[in-house]
Amino acid sequence: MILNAVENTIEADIPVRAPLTLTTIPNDAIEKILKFCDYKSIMCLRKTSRSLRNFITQTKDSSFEAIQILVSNERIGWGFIKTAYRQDIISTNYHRNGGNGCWLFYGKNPRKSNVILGADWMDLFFQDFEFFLRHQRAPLEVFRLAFGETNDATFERFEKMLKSIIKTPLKTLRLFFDGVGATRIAALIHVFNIPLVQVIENKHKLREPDRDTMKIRRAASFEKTTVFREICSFEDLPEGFRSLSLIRHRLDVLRWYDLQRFWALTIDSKYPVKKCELSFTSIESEEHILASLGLCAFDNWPSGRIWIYRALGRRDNYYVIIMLEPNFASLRLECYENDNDIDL
Amino acid sequence: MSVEPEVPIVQVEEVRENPVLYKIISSDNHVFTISEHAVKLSKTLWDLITNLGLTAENALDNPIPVENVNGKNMETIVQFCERHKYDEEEPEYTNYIREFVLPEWDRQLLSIDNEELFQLILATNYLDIQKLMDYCCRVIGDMAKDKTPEELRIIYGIPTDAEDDALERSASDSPGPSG
Repeated sequence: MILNAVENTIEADIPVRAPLTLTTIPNDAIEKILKFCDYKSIMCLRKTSRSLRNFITQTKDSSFEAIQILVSNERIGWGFIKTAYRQDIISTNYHRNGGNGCWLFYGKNPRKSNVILGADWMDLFFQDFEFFLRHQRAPLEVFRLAFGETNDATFERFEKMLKSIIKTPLKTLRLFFDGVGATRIAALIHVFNIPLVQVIENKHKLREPDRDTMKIRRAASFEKTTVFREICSFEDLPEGFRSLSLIRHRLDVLRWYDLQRFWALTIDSKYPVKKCELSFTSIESEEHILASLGLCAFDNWPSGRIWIYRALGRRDNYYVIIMLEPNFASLRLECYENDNDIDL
Repeated sequence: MSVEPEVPIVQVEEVRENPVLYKIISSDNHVFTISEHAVKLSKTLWDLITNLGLTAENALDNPIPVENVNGKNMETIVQFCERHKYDEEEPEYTNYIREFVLPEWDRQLLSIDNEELFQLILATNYLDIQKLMDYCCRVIGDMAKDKTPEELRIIYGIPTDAEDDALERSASDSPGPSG
């Protein structure tokens, strides 16, 4: 044995100097250590000191991302979302009918959109997806797979190809399926090879359409305490938790993001959200007032803290992100089926 | 100045066919013998050997001084390199960094206190031994599991913001080289 061949044990003879700590070793080593830490540990490390928080924020691999994939008969689109910068969504759509090949549409940079001659849309998507999985180091915070109008042939092909590229369990803390029936969900869970710990169903019931105003098709309102209890309960779940959310409503709450001082609510809606009312336990700035009552059209919210996206370019699917101060007390959202119906 | 060893030479058994051995002297003048395959795991040492033109004939007569690594760390490093000298390359390993399991032998080797582990990381970083660096970082990363920020601060010796500020102030108040 090599170990036994070491004849002498050497006495420690370390020169006196300041003790080494995690923050005084080389940055490369800290980065590597972070890669071995799970998400929860990194979040705890961020809270230990300012310098470590700054380091973690600036480190590329520690910017946890969410991915959403939308599949339909005509195209597959996927978007990368950086948690810390929700407005920074990079999306690509792979269209089936792109003339003699696959038409690639880049959401971030439409001018670079092009047609890959002779390429199959699904092959191309899975090529890119496999590349992502191979190079993924940090676990995703959210992986969302949504299905639009998808016939059996498309779904089966998608499932088959997914199965062929997923070799290890998908690295994500939460998994959402949208627009897909129970049979297909069961098949997909099997493909993702995920030890499912808990299933969470969205418990928020939406209000019936308001007959008096007629314009309001869907609305949701939440008290802060309800939201914390029912949506943020994942904080108490064991490490490695993965959840499945069955999203059935027109207006769905996906999840809350803890962004240090703010909370952000993301909502996926079939109709544009046109009204947002927020109330606060205290009003500290003009921005609060501006954000507390917003009646506006796309990209024209009164506060810079509210963004709306048309998710993946679909006319009937909207993505809303609202950043909230910690002292918010309640929230009410309304969306309308038709833009022209709104009477401001 | 003589670099004669002050303690007996640490012999490391060469179990396979390659007989080429090199001598390394640590910062505290401990001398180690390491095989060619093992020394290749350290990019720094191997570059040095190549640049110095050491061959099988003159290798043992020309010990390599390593000023930045003490004997204790060098002993761990030599043991590690000898253990892993015939390991196959793991090209895909970093892609699935979280799935990789630390072998029990290495976990035992790295069961040292944190201060020593951080020193070993410095030494490993200097000698550029990728695998040992990964293993050390894995051990440190594992310590963070299920800990609160306060516990992490103690385990890793992370100064609080106030302590950080005080250190910065004292560093800026202290006279410079000319003062």
